[in-house]
Amino acid sequence: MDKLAIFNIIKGETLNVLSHIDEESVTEAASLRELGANSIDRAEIIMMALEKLNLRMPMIEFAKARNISDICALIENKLLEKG
Amino acid sequence: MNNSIESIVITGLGITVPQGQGKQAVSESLLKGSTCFSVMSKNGRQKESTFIGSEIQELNASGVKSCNALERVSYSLKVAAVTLNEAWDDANLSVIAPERIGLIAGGSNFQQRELVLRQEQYRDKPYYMRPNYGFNFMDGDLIGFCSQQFNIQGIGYTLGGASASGTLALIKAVQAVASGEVDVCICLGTLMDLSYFELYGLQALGAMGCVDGHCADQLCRPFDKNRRGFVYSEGCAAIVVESRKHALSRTAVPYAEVSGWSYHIDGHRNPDPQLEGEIRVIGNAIKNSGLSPNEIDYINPHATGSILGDEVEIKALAASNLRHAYINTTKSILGHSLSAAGTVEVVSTLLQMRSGRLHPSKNLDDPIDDDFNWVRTQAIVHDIKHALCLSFGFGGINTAICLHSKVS
Repeated sequence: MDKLAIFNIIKGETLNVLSHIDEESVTEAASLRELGANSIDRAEIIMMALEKLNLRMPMIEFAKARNISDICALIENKLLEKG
Repeated sequence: MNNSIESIVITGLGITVPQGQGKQAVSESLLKGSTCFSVMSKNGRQKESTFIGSEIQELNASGVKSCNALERVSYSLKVAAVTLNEAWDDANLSVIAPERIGLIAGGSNFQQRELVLRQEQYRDKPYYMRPNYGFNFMDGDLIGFCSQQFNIQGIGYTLGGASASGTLALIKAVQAVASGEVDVCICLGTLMDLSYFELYGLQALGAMGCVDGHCADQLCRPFDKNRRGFVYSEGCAAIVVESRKHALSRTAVPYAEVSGWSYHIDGHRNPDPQLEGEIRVIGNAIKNSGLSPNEIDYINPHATGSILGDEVEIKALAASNLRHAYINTTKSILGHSLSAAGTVEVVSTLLQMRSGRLHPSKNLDDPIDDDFNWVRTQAIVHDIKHALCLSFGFGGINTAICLHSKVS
């Protein structure tokens, strides 16, 4: 799965959880916090994306992700590891 | 001997039941005796079953300040916010300092249906359980959510007293004001959101009525000889209390004075009620109001329609010398909202006090004791002076509260 597909899943869940924001504002460079997500919203978005991807990853691994691009990269790496 | 030196009054009400949202709609439904019992249809209420109950069809949340926030909270919390909003505006609480307002929510384990739905969704993949669930499953989420919505920063907690929770929460709210902990306290009777698991359990226990030949409208028949058990209902109510002095200082108009109360436990685990405990709590509440039984002119009984519960309660009322007082059965119209029932019924009592009329009792065709002053098929005109409201909960939890229409 390429990074764009992963991004689109994250974007979809972001719009689900933060229902009041513009679709255009959800870019790879954007951080979920800047978009208005609190820590629980952020964990919700990531968990729902992992569920869609059928991928198990501890939430702690996302602690250092600064923006959506970082989250996508972490997921992409895990998918590659999994093979 | 009064419970409190200071007079405590009620200055705001909110109510949401299947018949409608808000005091006016509910008052009209009560006086007409309009019921909403049918085979329940909400997701998570049935599983190879046809449980009868009364469900809220549509919730209008437009009055709640941040409506968007309602999207991701449980149903019990949504209804709480909407109901609290009505009481908040009614008592004009926006002018009170947030740290002088308290919130006590009666009810425990009240989000059962939502939890079951979420657990069913993740049964085979629990490792994807939503982070939200990690704190939503605890009832305290209601306190967090409502206090954020309304900016409440005084005391706050949920309390569990089974079907007496709503009355117990009101008593604790009154005590919080009487002790000076807060100036204003909101009592919330929380919507008990049952799943099919609890409904099956309550039916198996013999507490809840099953349809078995009765049509839905006739199943709920408190104090009738042919009663079959209680009938579940969704419902939620909110009551604002403050001292009379505080109310007068801000020109709030009280509905009534909470003139006395009593609560204690039986030291008895099983759901069967104890006559001595009920007599004791009734007697103490009346005594604490500075009244004698003959001054009580209206009783809002617990009256669930359960086989044993009604029988014990009517004996307790007879032994307490209360045969003269008008008595009707709010649950025959609204159903039994369990954790919310006590609060819902105090609100129902105050609505009757305001309207100068008493609502009918449905399905009271053949009362278990004729020698009571029953309000039967039609509403009647009566100005309540001293009301007695009763709630009893599984686990031997007895509560009684007296309300005086003329604030001294």
